[in-house]
Amino acid sequence: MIESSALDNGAARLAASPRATAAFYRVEVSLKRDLPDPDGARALALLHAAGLSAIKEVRSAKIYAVRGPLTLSHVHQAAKELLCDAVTEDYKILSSQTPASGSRRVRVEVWLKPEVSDPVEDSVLLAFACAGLPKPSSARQGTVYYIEGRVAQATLEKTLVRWIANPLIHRISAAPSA
Amino acid sequence: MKNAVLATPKAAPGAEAPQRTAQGFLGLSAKGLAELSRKNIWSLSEAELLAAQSYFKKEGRDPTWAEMETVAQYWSEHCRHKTFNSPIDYSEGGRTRRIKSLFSETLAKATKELKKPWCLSTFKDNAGIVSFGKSGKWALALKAETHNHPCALEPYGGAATGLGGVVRDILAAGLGAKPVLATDVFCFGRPDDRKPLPEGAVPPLRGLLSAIAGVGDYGNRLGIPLAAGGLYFEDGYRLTPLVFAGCAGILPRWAVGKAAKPGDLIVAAGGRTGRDGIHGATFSSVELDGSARAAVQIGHPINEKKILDALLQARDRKLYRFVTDCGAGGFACAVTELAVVAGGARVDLSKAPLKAADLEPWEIWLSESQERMVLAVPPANLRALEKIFADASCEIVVLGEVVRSGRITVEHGGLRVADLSLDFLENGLPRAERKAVWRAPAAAKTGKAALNLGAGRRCAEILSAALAHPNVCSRESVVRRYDYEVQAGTVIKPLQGVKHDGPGDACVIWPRAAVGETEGFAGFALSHGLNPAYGKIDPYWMALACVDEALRNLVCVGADISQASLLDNFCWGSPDNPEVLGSLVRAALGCYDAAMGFQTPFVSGKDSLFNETKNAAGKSVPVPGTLLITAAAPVRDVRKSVTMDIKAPGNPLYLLGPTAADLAGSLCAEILGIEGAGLPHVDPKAALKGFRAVLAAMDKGVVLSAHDLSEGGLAVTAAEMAFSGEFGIRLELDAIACKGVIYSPEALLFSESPSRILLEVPADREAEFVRVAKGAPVLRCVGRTIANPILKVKGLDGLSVMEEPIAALKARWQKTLTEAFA
Repeated sequence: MIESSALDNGAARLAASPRATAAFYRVEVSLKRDLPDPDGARALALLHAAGLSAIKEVRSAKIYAVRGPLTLSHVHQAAKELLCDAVTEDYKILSSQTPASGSRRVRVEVWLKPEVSDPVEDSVLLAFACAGLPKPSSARQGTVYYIEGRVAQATLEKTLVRWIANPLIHRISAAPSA
Repeated sequence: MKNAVLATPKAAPGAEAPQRTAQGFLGLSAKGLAELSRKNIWSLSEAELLAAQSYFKKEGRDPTWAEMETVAQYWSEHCRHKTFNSPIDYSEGGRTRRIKSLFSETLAKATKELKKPWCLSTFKDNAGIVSFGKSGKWALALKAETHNHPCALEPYGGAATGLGGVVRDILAAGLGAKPVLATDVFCFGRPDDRKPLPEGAVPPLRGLLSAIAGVGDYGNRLGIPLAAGGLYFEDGYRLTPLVFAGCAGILPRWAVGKAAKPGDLIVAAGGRTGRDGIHGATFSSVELDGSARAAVQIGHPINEKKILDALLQARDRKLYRFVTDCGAGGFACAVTELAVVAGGARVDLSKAPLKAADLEPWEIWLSESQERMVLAVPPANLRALEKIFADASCEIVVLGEVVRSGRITVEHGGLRVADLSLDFLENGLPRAERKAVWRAPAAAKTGKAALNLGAGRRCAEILSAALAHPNVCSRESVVRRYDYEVQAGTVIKPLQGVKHDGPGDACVIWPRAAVGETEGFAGFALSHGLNPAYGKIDPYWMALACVDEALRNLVCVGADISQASLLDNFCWGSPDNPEVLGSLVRAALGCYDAAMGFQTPFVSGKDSLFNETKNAAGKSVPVPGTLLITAAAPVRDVRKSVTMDIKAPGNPLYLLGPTAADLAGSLCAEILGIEGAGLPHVDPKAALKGFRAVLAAMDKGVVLSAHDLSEGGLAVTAAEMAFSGEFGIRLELDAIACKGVIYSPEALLFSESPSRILLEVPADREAEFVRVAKGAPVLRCVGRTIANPILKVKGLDGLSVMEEPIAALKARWQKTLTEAFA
């Protein structure tokens, strides 16, 4: 039910799309560490409600997967000016993930399934064009949760699909994170 | 038994999409037809399938897949309200009578008999439309919808698209109304429910939070204030939650009527068509068992906002003659509806903008992709229409034209996808006959038996539990998620009082931005009535209580209920069960009597049936029969609107209406764990007299605050008024006007007798109040506001029954949902 790879199927679809010559990037946008994170707090409350009281903290982030005739510099500019509010948020452009074995922190990605329309896609494509950047051929938005606490992977996965995401429309991936 | 074969011929490279036909359909037995219907989620009965087979025999051919899907969608319970429009043999008290059409003999009958001149369009358009304001230039469109089945599977997307759908209903009312208010009401399992759930079921807390987020994320982006709603928690909704979304909009009077003409172009506007939401209409006629998950949709509020802006500009330039929205059934229902109005239509689906290139023609026809509208446009206006929509970055495309053929003809390029007689679609639906049984509940519940509240709990304890109960506690943590101020016309807001956190009875909207007038102060109020606990005992009295509560809430803010309109939303289990249908009939009969008694017509409504889910043991569990009444009425001068918080110390408090020992189905009975006796029985005639008297007093400015008595009775109402205004209240129980003799302070404080309002009157104008409100059959001074911030109750024996600091009461009231959501 949960993908073991850190790269979800929605993003993988973009990465493996026929336009293989176009570059593929993933940008993660998170609230600055000193700011309260209501989405993370809500996820924590739900996980506690599900009985996972050993979880201490959940932080959330948005993640964008963008494909198109873009350079790294274009993506930095887009991340700074379009995808991220520099006053309250930080961004990072992700390289391939290496799961950190033995970590108590789990990184969960939740994406809409490829066959489900992503209403954010239109806005992202239009925003790139309006900012004078090359228009990407496709874009998707997902959510990332960093879950801190000692909990068995199988239990966490079972809980995530019932309390945080909906396997009907979502692809979920979970992996230990540094 | 023969089997129908879904035949898809292979297309040559570069050729048109292949045609799919139901080969062998004409030769199928009844059993084979039923199997075909079940496999394809058509939700058609045997009689309906045989009627379709007979039609295609006359046509001399097997149907195409798109034709059968069109029949299924157009004849679905969702689109044709078959239960409300078919004969029912209704048995009650050993006698059986035939109801030819529940709709015509209850809801529509009341509206017809009341013949209110200000009802401009009832039950025939996408929303009910009534006149608005003094100028005669404006009208108000009202609609409330349910989106229960999608929300059970995916509450975020389901709630969001539920709101999006009802907003489009308002955009498609007449030639389109500007939405000025959105509403939501949720019925869920208790948020602290941690009992095991069947595989795939969404936990109530998670479902509720997702639904709230869905409505907030969608509604807030549309720029429509969401200022009215409700939450109701009960175990019966843990597997099948109910999600209601409503909307009100303003339109010019000239835009109330619409009619497409032959030669008009059929134009699709808005979002692209994808493979989402297929079978939504028929899916809502099946029990939830996880087999129909393709019906889930994801909304795109920005696209809806673009349509909203462009459509209203085009309306004001009179560029189109007809508009409807693509809801359940997608183009199949929307274009067919247009064709029925105009006498025929021909469309080419290859023109439709698609999200995915590999959609088959029948999928394009059936898709319920959101944010799409269908218009009938005179050819001469097309260029101007295209310019307006292009300026709003909103796609439009000509799909076809209106023709006077008596048929709906659907092509894809050169391929004939469907060609159906409109007469068959409109009039070929066989009317199923159903049986309904109603068995009266035990006398102890409905009668006026003596009370026995000897549970040993003090009134203060009961009040504390009542205020903390999920069905009474503060909704602030939900309300704050919504933008209820946008458009700057929300005069009476959902949260009221000194700290803007008290529970309002109704919202008052001054739609000056929509009418472009700032001179007049005409507005409208909107409220709800819902109490499934009464329905478990007797749905007839539940219906009367819901109408009474909704109208009473309007009175509390000063709305003119002599021109009130009602919307009905029935959510029930399977009507195939005679007892379930019996309770539905009984509720509809209650609606008729309530409408006639209160002289208030229904203008629109919707039924959502088959709200059942299999539990972990595989047993079908229906939701409690639930009736949501939405009421709206004009506020002649919004400056005279009244809120519920106490304004000053030293003012007398008057209680409108008599108090009986009505505790059956009450919150108090639930808290004490007793059955309770005496279901509230509404007397509409007496209630109306009292409401009119209160409104006369409000018009003279001699009512400072007003709050209705509902769950938790007088004690909860007084506590809420006190802590919202931050002044104390002293109540004297021996001053309460009783029906019958009541010795129990618990009964006096927590009775849920209907039609009651607690009013704060300015001390220096008390005599004037009494004179103006003399038409009220029962109106008694029962206490006074005090500076000391306590709620003090003096019992029948003169001794203190309760003396509680209002800060402590408020703290109890505020923490339930905050803690549940934390």
